[in-house]
Amino acid sequence: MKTPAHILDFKAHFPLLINKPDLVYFDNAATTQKPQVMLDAIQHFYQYDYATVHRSTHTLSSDVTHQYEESRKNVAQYIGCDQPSSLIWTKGTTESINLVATILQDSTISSSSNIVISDLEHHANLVPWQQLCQKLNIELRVANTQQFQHKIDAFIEAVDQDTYIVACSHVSNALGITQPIKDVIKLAKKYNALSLIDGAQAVCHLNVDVNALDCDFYVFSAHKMYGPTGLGCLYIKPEQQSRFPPYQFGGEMVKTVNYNNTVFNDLPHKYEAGTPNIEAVIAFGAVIQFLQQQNLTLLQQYESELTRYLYQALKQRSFISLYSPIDSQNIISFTLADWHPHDVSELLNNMNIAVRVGTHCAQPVMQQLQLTNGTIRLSLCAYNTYEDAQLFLRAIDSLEDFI
Amino acid sequence: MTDNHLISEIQSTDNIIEHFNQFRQWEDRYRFIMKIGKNLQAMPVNTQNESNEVSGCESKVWLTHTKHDNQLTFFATSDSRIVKGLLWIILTPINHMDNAEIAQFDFDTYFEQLNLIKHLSPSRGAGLLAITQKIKQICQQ
Ligand SMILES: Cc1ncc(COP(=O)(O)O)c(C=O)c1O
Repeated sequence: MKTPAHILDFKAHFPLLINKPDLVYFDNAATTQKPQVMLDAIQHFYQYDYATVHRSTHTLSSDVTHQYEESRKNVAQYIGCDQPSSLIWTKGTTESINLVATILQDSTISSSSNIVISDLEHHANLVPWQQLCQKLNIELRVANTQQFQHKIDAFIEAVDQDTYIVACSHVSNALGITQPIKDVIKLAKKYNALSLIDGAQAVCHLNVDVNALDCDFYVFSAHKMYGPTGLGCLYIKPEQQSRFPPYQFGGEMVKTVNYNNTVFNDLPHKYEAGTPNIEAVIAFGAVIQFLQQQNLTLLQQYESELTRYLYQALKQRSFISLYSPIDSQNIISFTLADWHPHDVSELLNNMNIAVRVGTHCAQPVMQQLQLTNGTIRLSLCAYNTYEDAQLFLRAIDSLEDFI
Repeated sequence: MTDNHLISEIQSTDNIIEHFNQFRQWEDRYRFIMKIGKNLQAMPVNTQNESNEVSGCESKVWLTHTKHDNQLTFFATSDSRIVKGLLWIILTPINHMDNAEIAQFDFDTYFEQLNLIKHLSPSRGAGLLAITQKIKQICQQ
């Protein structure tokens, strides 16, 4: 297998991968590497355009405000949202989910309500709901996907007329399973429940269209899709926008303030108190533009092919147990018979191969699989080559020489 | 490959350091660590339990000791081969020392001479520290 030229061209945009030619980076689900255009945008911003946004009227500030809002428009468009004000900047997926859990807490949830999550969630889409349920003394229901086979059936069982919100990942970070979110959202709507989709592992590899999905909330992190750290997004469906109270209070999120009263600003500002991470927003805008210039269909196709290739190769090895499904989305979670995952990663690390081992911020998922030490997780993206895959397979096969 | 004949002769810290420092490649170092772990003395029956687990390690580690005529002997194991090898490196010299020597033993210098910490992940290093602290604690009891 040879890596296609367009993939090598794509890889050439990532300076770290060029500067470290021997590195095999298979930890993309944790965070991806960054393209040069992002670094250029940050440098240019501080060298020529730096000022605050929204507050000041001088040219510098109005120019950067324009860029900042253009980024919002581009990112919104990228996920199929035609109203940029529906897209709120946060620190990341984690903050986006905590924001929603917090504003719901202050809204009226009756004591007979329940909240439904799936049994494939990252801690970020589990603990905030668990804590909210404990606080309000309501039930947290975990849709039991029964060894992950009958996917939507598990939700049909869990969701009922008392369900307040269904929170579900688009793609599971631990195993790479794509959840039937279209049906989950439909089901939630049928019962008048809200729906939140954690798209942290999806936006980088799938076309997301929040409009078509019709979910109430969609959340993701910029750093997992070639963008900067410290920036996340929260999409709120227009009809839900005036329903909930603010999250944090301070500058920018207000219209008028006197000592007795405050009138809050409209979206997105209502949920963006304080000076935001302007640098990251500008940088993310540049990354989205860069992605729009790529042939995303080809990149996604290639990612699937490379994932299948590695999956099949691992499957042929009798000493490997796979926990990801064959149609896994860029993630292959597996264990090696008689090996502690940490020993594997320590040796791979010495061979310049970066993978993630352990429970992947999804301890309950590993508990269901009875994997106390977790798994070894390969997570790929479009700049990984067939050579990377072959180096990895050779490394895996060389492990038995150590014992 | 380290044969058993050789291993039985590697017992003092000086031996271990000397043996360890002859490795020029990381592969050889790890091969030695992972193979030598097989020579750990078996834990006494029913001691590989929760109350003997050392917290602060990435992988599971169990540590216990016996006392005969006031002389301490340590036993340990792990579910990780690398950690088992490290445990062998820790326990082999101290199980040839009397209690006072163990209490005095400078693990940091030993690890430095082995050039060990540098080659381990930070969390492994922290785990090693947790184990040596526990040993010192037991000596002080
Ligand atoms: C599915 C999923 N949800 C949430 C998160 C949390 O994202 P962040 O740490 O960027 O807030 C992650 C990141 O690992 C994830 O994979």
